[in-house]
Amino acid sequence: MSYPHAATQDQPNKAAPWVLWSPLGFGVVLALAALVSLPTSVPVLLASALMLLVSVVITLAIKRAWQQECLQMRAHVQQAQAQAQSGKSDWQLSQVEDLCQGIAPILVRQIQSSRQLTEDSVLTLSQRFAALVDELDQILNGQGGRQHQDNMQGVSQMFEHSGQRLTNVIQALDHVLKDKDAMLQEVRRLAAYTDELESMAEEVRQVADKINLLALNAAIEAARAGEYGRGFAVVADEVRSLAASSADTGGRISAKVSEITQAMTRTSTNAERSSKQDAQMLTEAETSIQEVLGSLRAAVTDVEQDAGNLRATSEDVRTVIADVLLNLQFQDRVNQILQHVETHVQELPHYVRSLETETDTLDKILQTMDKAYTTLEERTNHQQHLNTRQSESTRGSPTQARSSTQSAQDEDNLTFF
Amino acid sequence: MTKLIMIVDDSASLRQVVAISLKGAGYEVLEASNGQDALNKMTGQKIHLIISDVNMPIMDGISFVKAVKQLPQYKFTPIMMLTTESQQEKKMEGKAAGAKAWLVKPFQPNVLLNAVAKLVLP
Repeated sequence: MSYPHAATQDQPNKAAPWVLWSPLGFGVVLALAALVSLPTSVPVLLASALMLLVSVVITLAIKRAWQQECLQMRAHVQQAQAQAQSGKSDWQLSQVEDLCQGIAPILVRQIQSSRQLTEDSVLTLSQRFAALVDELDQILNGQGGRQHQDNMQGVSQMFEHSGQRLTNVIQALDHVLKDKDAMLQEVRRLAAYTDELESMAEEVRQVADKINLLALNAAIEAARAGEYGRGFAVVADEVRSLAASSADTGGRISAKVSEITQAMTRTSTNAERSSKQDAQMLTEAETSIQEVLGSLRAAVTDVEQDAGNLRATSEDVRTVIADVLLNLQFQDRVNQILQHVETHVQELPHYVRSLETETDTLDKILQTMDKAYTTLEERTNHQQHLNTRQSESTRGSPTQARSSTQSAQDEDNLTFF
Repeated sequence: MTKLIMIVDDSASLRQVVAISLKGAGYEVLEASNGQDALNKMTGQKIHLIISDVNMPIMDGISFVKAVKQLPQYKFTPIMMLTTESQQEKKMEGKAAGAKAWLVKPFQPNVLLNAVAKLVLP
């Protein structure tokens, strides 16, 4: 609200308009006109004097009325100005207070929900990271690690044990094969006996032939002896009969020995072939077993190496997660800073009210804020703002100021009493 | 025997961070969200060290230290303050209350563990 005409009406005596003098001028002109145009006489002179007097009286009356009006107006304007000034101040503070009361609760709610959201998220993150670190610890140092080591030791022992048992099987088969060879040698040695038996059977046949011939001669001589030789002839026949029987037996022996020889030769041949096949199979089985064991051992070694690599990677991951977890400490500081901001936003209407009743309000508010701070960042920001207010030349971001002193701070962070 | 350390802080995420550092070094951890909560949970425990924040709701860290020093069982239990407060006046308040050390957040794990190793009861 403004009063532009107030300044022009402030000094009515000095600036009385010329119009106020017009009745006097009009009276003087009429008086002069009467004196000039009419013949000089007492009535004309009286009338002119009267007009002049009336015009003077009217002019003075008008001027007095004007002055009074001006004085009243000035008083009125002054009063209006005073009222306007006071009303304006009250109006502004009231509006600002209303504004603060209308906005501050919303801002406080926004800050609170932001704080809660950040705290919840960081808590969830930290819990998950902590769970990950725990699990990795268990894998690396706890039951999981030990179980893995036990498993790997068990696998190695199982391989050693299986290799030993398979070697034993190979050795047993080898032993069987050697026994079979020994038996084959025996068969071959028996084959040598059959030749001898064949020779003996031949000898039996030859003796039988000789006996038969001898018995034939004896029969001839018995016949030649006549009656005296009759008994001898009977003996000779019997001997011939025995010789024939012996020759027959020798022939059958020879035939059987021949059959046996053939059978033993076949057996020996088959046994030799089987022995060679067994030896080849044994060699192949031993080679296969060694190859399979070697492959499995290589696979286990690979698994062990992979497990070692996995373990090293897990340790790296654990370290990284632990570092990330440490960096989540920012939440605590951010939370405290936001709490203080929230408090001061809540206090804004009160701060505005205090403008009406207190002096040095800003300084007092700044001191209150400074006392409430708990973090270095808050104090640094506050001080830098004050410095900026004092001099535009001293500028710098809080982060830069902080990072330059970070390493020194780490050393000074711990105090023993 | 595993040493038991109590962490008193209203920030759950910070308790997690401290706990993971201590557990990694082989300590057992007991957590509380403020001084009163800690006093309630201390009963019947054998605590070798207390790590406490300063600014907490319900019961702040300085009041908590004073209360602990009144308990016969924990009269000589060392207490380390772990806080964002770094002002000397606050540190002196902690010292006067009975704290043995003051570590300003954010902390480095090795600094925390070195301090814990020096303070923890045998």
